[in-house]
Amino acid sequence: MEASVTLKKVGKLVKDKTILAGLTFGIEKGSLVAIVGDNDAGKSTILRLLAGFENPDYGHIYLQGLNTDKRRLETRKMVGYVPHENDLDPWLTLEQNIKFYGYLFGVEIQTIQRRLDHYAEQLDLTPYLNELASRVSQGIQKRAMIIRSLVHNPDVLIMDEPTGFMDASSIRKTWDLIEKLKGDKTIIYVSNSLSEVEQSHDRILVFNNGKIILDGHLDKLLESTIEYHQFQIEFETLTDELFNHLCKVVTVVSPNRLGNIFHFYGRTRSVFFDVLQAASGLPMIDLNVKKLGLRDLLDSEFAGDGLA
Amino acid sequence: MILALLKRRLWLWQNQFLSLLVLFLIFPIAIFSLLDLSMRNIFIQSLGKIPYDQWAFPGMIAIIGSLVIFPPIYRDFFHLRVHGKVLKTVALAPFTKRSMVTSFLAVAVLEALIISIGTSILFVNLISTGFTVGDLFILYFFLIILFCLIGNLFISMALWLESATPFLLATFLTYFLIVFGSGFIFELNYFPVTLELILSIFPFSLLIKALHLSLFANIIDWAIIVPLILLIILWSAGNGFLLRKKLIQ
Repeated sequence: MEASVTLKKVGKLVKDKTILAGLTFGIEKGSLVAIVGDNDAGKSTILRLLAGFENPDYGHIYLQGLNTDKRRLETRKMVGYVPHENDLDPWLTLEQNIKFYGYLFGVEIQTIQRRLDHYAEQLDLTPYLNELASRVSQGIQKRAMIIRSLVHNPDVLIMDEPTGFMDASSIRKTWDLIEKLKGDKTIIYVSNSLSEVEQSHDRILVFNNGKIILDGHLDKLLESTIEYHQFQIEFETLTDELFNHLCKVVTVVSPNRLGNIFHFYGRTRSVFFDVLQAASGLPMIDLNVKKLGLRDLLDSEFAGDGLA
Repeated sequence: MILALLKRRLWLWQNQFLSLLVLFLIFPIAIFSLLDLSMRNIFIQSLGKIPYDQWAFPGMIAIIGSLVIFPPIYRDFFHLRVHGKVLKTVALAPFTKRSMVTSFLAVAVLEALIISIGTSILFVNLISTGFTVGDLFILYFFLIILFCLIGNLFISMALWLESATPFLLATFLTYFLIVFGSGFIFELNYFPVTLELILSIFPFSLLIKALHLSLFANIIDWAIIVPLILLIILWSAGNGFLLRKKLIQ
């Protein structure tokens, strides 16, 4: 498939600290790419570089084949950016904020109005359009920022925490819209809401210390990196002695406890029976075997073991 | 870009119409009452024997315009850059930083000019200046140059400084210099010779000197005007460069 976004050895430094270390990758046109990772992993920085919000210290970024540094003015039109922090003009209404960006990008007034009406209806923003940005909640501001980023119809949509500060209903509507836009637009986003990432992605990039340590669809990542099962046993009483005893079962990986619940991972399902045997005779309340998810993949201690 | 910024200024006016209208009505009346009504009793006439009211008229309009140009520049280049991060997002629009600076400046100058025109019409009815319509157009021409200079100065300060206290102190100092040290409300000849010499080479002083020459001696001093226009062009380009550095874009 055609690459929409290409990075070649892109790096970013802040003083002597490396924020991004020579990243090289491409993103297919029309795909929905999630970027996840720990705080300070470089997730937001890569979005800012892609959006042209900041310049890389070295390397090149290409949008639809155009170098963003040499063809700056052309590539700017291709990108819509939703930053993490709310950055609407506080003394303009939401509608004025959105229209202002439309005018800045040279979009005709009728087209601006049509897109504004269309997206405002989808994100349920219409009742708030005439409110000053400073007088509405952050979640509503975020929805307006999403519409603002779409008003010039960009090919690439870059979003930092697209559902940040939103209530449940708004989150659902926002993801519905993103799913509709996918295919027509290349969408790259950062989110700390792993459940949302699990449900909405074609590809996940896992960042760590400015590098991509995992890249692919969640199912493939889980398949290729961790052959573990996750187990939970709730005891009537989980004493320290019992917990320590269960931790010593050699096939148990990354054990921990939450109250009377013993939580652990194992390479095979038979580990479960090893633990049951070790805990023989003690009263149990509940048993649970769970499919591994993105959170397990990112869990630092476990991921460290699993990815080593 | 200018059209988008103009539209936005109109919206901002519309959203705070009453408070802005009241302030902009009080402004010229306060300047007239506190400066002209007292100074006319001290100076009576200029050193060139021109009645004080007439001599100080362009200076008072210039002071009002210089004050009006400050809020939009402070808002966009300082407050919404340092606190709101709005400027950085606006800068994602497909324009060079130089054209961005020029557009913001043009809109701020236009706003100051409109208020200045309104004020000059008001003052013409309060003071017997004897100025013709042609004189007023000469005044507006010089005011545009003055506002471009002051606007560029404020943009440089707003981009250079990162916290409110030094920025506001620098602004007050600038106004002090404009009002008292540029020959707007009394002539520089009243200062000691050395200080007069220093103050007379400031761009604002040169401009007001050229304005007085045009209005009271019918001499257009291009030797002053042309270098000042060149300075504005270079300064705007410098501010574009500074903006690019500040935004790291």
